[in-house]
Amino acid sequence: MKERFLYEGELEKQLKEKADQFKMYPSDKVWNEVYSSLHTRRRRFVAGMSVLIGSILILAGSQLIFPSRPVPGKITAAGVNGSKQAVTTDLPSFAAGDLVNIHSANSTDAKTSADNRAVNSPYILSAAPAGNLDNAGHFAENLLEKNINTTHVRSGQPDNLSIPVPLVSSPVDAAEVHETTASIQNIAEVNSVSAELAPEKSAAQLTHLRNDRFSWEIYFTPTLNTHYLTGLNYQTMAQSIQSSPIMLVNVSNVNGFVDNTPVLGYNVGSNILYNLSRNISLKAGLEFSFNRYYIKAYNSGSSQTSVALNSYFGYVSNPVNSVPGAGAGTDKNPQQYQNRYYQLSLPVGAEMKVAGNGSVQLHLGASLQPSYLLNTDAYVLSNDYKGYTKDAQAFRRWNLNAGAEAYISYGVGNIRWELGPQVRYQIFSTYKNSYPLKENMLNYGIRIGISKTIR
Amino acid sequence: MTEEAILQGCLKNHAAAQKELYNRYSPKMLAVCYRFAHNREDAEDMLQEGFIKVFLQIHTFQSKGAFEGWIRRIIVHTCINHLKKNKRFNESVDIIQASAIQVREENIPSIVQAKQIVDCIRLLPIGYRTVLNLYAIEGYAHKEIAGMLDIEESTSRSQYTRARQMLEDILIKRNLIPAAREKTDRLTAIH
Repeated sequence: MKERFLYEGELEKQLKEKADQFKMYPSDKVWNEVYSSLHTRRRRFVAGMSVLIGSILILAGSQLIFPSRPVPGKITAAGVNGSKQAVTTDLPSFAAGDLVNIHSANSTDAKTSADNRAVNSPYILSAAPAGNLDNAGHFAENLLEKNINTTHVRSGQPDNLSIPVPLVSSPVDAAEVHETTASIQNIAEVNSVSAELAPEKSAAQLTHLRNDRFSWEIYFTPTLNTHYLTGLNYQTMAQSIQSSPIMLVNVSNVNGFVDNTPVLGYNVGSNILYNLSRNISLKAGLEFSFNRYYIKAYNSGSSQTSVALNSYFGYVSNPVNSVPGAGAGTDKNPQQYQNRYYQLSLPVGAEMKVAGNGSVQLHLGASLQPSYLLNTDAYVLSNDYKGYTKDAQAFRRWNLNAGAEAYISYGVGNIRWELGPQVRYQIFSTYKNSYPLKENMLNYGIRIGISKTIR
Repeated sequence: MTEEAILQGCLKNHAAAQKELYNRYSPKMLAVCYRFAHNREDAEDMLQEGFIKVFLQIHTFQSKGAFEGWIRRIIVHTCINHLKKNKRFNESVDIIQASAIQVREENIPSIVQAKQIVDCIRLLPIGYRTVLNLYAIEGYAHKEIAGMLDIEESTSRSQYTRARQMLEDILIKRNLIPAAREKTDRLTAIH
């Protein structure tokens, strides 16, 4: 038993020794999950921003799909025996008694209209004459019972009344009309009424002008994403070559070692525009962008590689585990991997109308976009350009993009459709300064937008 | 970065320090998880759960003992808790059925020695393997194992004896220990 015990101890010792020697390298997914669990503040920020963007897009969409209506006012059609029977319309309140068969400047003559059984002038408000209460009562009943159509009259029509006046089209008895026309005031009086209303027109127009300064805009831009790698070439490395772990055989332009193919991504966003003048407007908003591109790599086993990092003492080699199946080697059967970036930006810029005043206009715009990298699913090139690896720490979270666009807009009512090319360039490198390679993204695409004036 | 600096950084929830700690210990700890787990995916789940606990409880670490040992204990307990969620595991640690279990020869891999040993351990039924891992490699006493696995101490002992016997057979088949010596030892033990 004693020997057996010794052997037993020896076995355990060997088992422990061998088991402790054994190491396995976890996939990057494990660290990413650990990291995201620990840094929930970042997740909350992402969730909060997503809710914010969603709300803005929903609000903008609802503004475009269900345009807001003006607050209805009241217009009293007739006053009978001191009691008022009101016909409400979408107009500011004023007493109908003050307006008696008001004709606009281009309306038909009152006497001519009396010959017609139906009075169908687009700018006539028919109401009971103030001095004839019997007729007025009867007329008011007619107004209500005969289902008089009241419609809006669009402001801005030539020769219109000074405020929007509802159209009253009623098949009134010719005699009644004649009787009524007998008591109507003459055109001069009508004009004087118009003149009295003129200040209201000015106020309304001013209000409109003031409100017209703001507009909503939402847009979607399918983009092609390309990227440019710089750094680690012979020229830039000449001074620090001695301390560099990069293989000398590869000290040339990095773009020669990678095969990058642009892929379709997209930007989606919403802006609020403020018209500084007729032609220039400022804009600010939120934009979500999804950028990606393919990298071609060659199958190889998972292996240890390293990512060079800048430090005060030259380059420091950071050993990492290369992703199984990825490697920028020279195998005959390259595999395609995708580098994906999810960014949230706050574009601030200006737009200028360069041509067109009517429904078709040409605009130029530019913006600067402070951006936050929400997430990545991207590979980083190793020192020797022979492998790709994932290293979430290598990416710069905050960046700055510059955008420029030209688009043609077509206006229908207060909605404008926009279409035109857009370019977006990432000013700072995708990677942190400690990573010697610099990557600048360039996206170009066709912007499809829709904007609506806020009133 | 020194261990002390890593520890201080982790206490301040600095991502760089956390990454450094993770890079330093995750390969060893994944190997620990792998010995307990059914497959690599499960092992990575255990590792992930374990490291989250490590970072969340790092303020409870007292610098008296070894940092690695402290991490290892958390990882092992995480593995056990993970296994205990599995019904099959709960059944397997209670039933002693060593003689009924057949090891399939074709499953035994032949790679480098450390990995060979680990893979041989992984050929054991989950209940045996867990007890063997805890007793022989992690150094827990049978009383502690009984508490961890909610079994009797005697069950832990018998499970271990049978696990060890089965592992020896596997190691002999793979020529990882000499058969003659093993036979001699057994004879000695019997006498």
